[in-house]
Amino acid sequence: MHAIHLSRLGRVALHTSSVRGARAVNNAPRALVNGKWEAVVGLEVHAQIDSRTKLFSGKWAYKCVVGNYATKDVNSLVSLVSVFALSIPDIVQRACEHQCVRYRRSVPRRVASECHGRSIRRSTCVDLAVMTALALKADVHLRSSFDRKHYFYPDLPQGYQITQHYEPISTGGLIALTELDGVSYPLEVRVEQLQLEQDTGKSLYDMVPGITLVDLNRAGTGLMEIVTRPDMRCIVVRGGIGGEEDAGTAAVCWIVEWEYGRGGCAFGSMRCDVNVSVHEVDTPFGTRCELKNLNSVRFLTMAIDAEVRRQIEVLEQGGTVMQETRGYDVVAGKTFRLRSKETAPDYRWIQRLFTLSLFAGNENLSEIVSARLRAGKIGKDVLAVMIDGDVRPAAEIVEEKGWHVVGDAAELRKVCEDLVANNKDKVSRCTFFTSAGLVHPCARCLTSFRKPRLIR
Amino acid sequence: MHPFRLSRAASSLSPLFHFDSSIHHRAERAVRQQNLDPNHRAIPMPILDTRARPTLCTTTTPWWPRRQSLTDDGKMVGDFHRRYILVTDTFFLLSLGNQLSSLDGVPVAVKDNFCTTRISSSCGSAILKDFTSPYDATVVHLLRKARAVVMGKTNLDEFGMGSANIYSTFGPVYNPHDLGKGQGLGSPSERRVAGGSSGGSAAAVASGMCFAALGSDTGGSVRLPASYCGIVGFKPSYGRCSRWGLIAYANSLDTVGLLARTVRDAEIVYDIISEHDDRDPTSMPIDIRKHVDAITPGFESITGDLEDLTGLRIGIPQEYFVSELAPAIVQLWRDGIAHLRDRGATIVPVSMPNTRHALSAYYVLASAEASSNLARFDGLRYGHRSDKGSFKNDTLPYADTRTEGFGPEVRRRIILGTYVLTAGSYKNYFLQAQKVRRLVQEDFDHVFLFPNPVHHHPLPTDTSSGVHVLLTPAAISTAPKLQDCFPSADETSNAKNPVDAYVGDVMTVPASLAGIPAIVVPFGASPLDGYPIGLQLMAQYGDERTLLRVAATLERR
Repeated sequence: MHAIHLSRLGRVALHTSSVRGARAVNNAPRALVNGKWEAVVGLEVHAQIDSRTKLFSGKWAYKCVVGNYATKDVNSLVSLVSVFALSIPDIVQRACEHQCVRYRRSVPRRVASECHGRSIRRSTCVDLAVMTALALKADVHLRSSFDRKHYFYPDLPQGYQITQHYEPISTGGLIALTELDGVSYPLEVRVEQLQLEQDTGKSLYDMVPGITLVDLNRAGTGLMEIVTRPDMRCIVVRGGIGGEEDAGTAAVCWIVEWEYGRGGCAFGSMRCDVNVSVHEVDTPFGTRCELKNLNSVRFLTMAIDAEVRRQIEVLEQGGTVMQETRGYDVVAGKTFRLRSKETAPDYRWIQRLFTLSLFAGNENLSEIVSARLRAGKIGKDVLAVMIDGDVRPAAEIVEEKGWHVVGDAAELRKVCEDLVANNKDKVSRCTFFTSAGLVHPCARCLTSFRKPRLIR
Repeated sequence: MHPFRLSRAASSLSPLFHFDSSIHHRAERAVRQQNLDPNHRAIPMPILDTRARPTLCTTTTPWWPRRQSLTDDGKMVGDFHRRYILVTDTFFLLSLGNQLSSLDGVPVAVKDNFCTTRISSSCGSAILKDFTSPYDATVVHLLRKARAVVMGKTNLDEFGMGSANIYSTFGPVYNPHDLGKGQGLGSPSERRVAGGSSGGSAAAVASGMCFAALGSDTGGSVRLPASYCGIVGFKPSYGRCSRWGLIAYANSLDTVGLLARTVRDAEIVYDIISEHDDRDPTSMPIDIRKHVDAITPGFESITGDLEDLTGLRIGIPQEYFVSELAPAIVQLWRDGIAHLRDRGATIVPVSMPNTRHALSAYYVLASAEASSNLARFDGLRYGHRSDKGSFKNDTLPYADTRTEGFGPEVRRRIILGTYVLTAGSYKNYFLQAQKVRRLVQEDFDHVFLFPNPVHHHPLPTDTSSGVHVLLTPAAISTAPKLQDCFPSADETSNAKNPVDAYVGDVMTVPASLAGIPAIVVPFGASPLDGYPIGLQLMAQYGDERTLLRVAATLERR
């Protein structure tokens, strides 16, 4: 289980734990609609990486700019758009192209990630992706590669998106949800892969009537796409808004929590595509439909419910569900078709355009990863300690350092306030919010605490 | 070299240049700043000998209007856009003062697919017709830093796609040797092409307009026009010169190349522009450069004499004797072999069996990469945008813009490239072409004496039969007639279909696939039509030193 072995493709994969099937783990009673239908949900989460620079160009990423987006004037907006994002000809990408000649490193580099012939020196995007992968208990591939995915759309300035579809930075992984997360039974959601990719621009439909504006400030920022296996089951809740009981939502929330914990993306810069299908118990999975353009967790839940209801209706009337991509109409409370399988674009992949190689500073990375804590979550700093070379389980580390597990909102607030009061000279900025924002600024001023499950 | 006479011929000649209106101002300022004491010469300048100057300055009347009529708002750029210009006596004055670098004050032309700030970069295409780049390409920046004068931008095949420089929005480029023959340009049926895709650069250098010109070589785009126009065309190893600012056609094949009249001139410009650039990730890193330079010993004769090639092994690849080779070319190839053998080189016949697949692999890969790189031209942010209002149509928003903006050859290659990347054809075409490419690279590694310095697993070379350089012709014929390049309805043309033109690249493409350096040296003219023929030398990756050394000997005919 802790072995390092060369996979068939010659990549070194670090296996940390065997991942059991979701069905075996989820011994909970099946959540059945109408007595026989079970809804199966898989997620594709696109999370924006909180890095200062964009993934491949040197420009500042969108979030770095202070201020209210709505009040910014055009000139300052334009400043964020790199020449690369505009894809002004010619932009040779910083992180490489199809290369005629592949350079072999004559001198090994210390902890860095490198793309062929070019080192992204301690790229935040890559670091955070690796940390997220470790948090998901996934297999981090020391060698992964980027592909180009081509399609034409105004918010895609280059006509292609650089993504990692075929050889992502990590595969496998697990999101373990418990009752504390709001699901009614303990659930393990398997993760298919985690990949780095470029974000597109943003299309604004409502600002000027009849015209679509394209905001390219976001184009080129690093995104993490986490694709889960269809391990989530959800029940149609009366009233249509069942945030707490939706395992899908819970998984999303967990990811958001985790992002927080490691200082990752801010809430709201995350998009989700959902794959929903319906089947009867003990029959093979039904045809899945993809739901896109869901911009908030609430819409996610409502859209899943609507789609499940629609599919059940179709099947009960004897029809078949077509494989489609659908959007969600909030007003009508129904999903509608965006495009069908026939009109699905051929992305004309250029595969393995360039590779990303990760080099560990010391050889103990494998041991660290394999000795990782399997149950429960790991606080950010515990993880940092482990990556630095400590191989003991997280619980031991916590105890040894005298860190205290904080499990309650009020207690957390008190701890924060105390700490701030005691260390006024060290705290540069600390603001308290009553909801999701609470922990995030605290993370900056506190040096250690175990991240609670508070964030919803 | 015939000095180029302007007068009435100017207006009837095909477009070569975009006019850089700021030259005049900068030249005047430079002259004022110069210390005009001829004794203060910092660097001995072999290039400022009588070979270079008269063709530029002294024999022709300045056709350029005087300073008073120049306006500063760029209007002159539009008025004199794409006309011939000539360097005035100002440059003669520049040369008298302090020479701060080897290219100080020297006029250089730049192919139009390099991004420049002061002049538009159109890539010969309607879709970028008035596009001005916000930044300079690195090689252009290096030339400017060396105080070379970027005279203007030269015409090219659209986006670098073509072998005869006939596919350009601004019209075809004619071979300057037309003029020397006294035929003038009277008869359209007699005009010959300059070669592509750097035809404008080659014609500019060949006709004496500038000292050297930058070009881009993807499949022979610098070497082929050099052969047709009778000048030196040099393509360094892939990664030696930065591609930052070179508008991409095929990323893994594009190389910045040079055109000049002699090998020494090419070497001077090459020394300026071959620097590592952080912004280009495919640029050879500095430690790799040092490593490569250290382990390729190159070739130096014992006596040090340029004429002595004892110890040099020259390979003649048998597979390059294709049936399309004109007899005049074969004869000149043999003459070249004899020329080198007479100077002491050892001639070795070698075999590179995968050469016959190289051309198809090249066109598959280049078209696929082109379809990807040209996907960004949708008219939304810059460039031509169609008025037809096709944006209202969700499924085909860019079709009109791209159809109007791209020429026929570009459209052909984009569609071809898109096809080979579709899901059904990817394995059969693109992946296969990649494998063939690997085989072609291995062919070269087998024949060269020294192992490839950057391959992960350098193949063991047979030292008894290894060679330093390879010698082949650069093209299968002399410069073709213009009408033979366009298939015509009545049977006056020899061209059958556009793909026939691809066979013209067969000599130059394998070196591009392998990324190895190659140089074309003019070696004489065809006895039939009198047009120049060039011979191509190829060396192992990173071995520019040997290549330039042997090329210098070869051009001394």
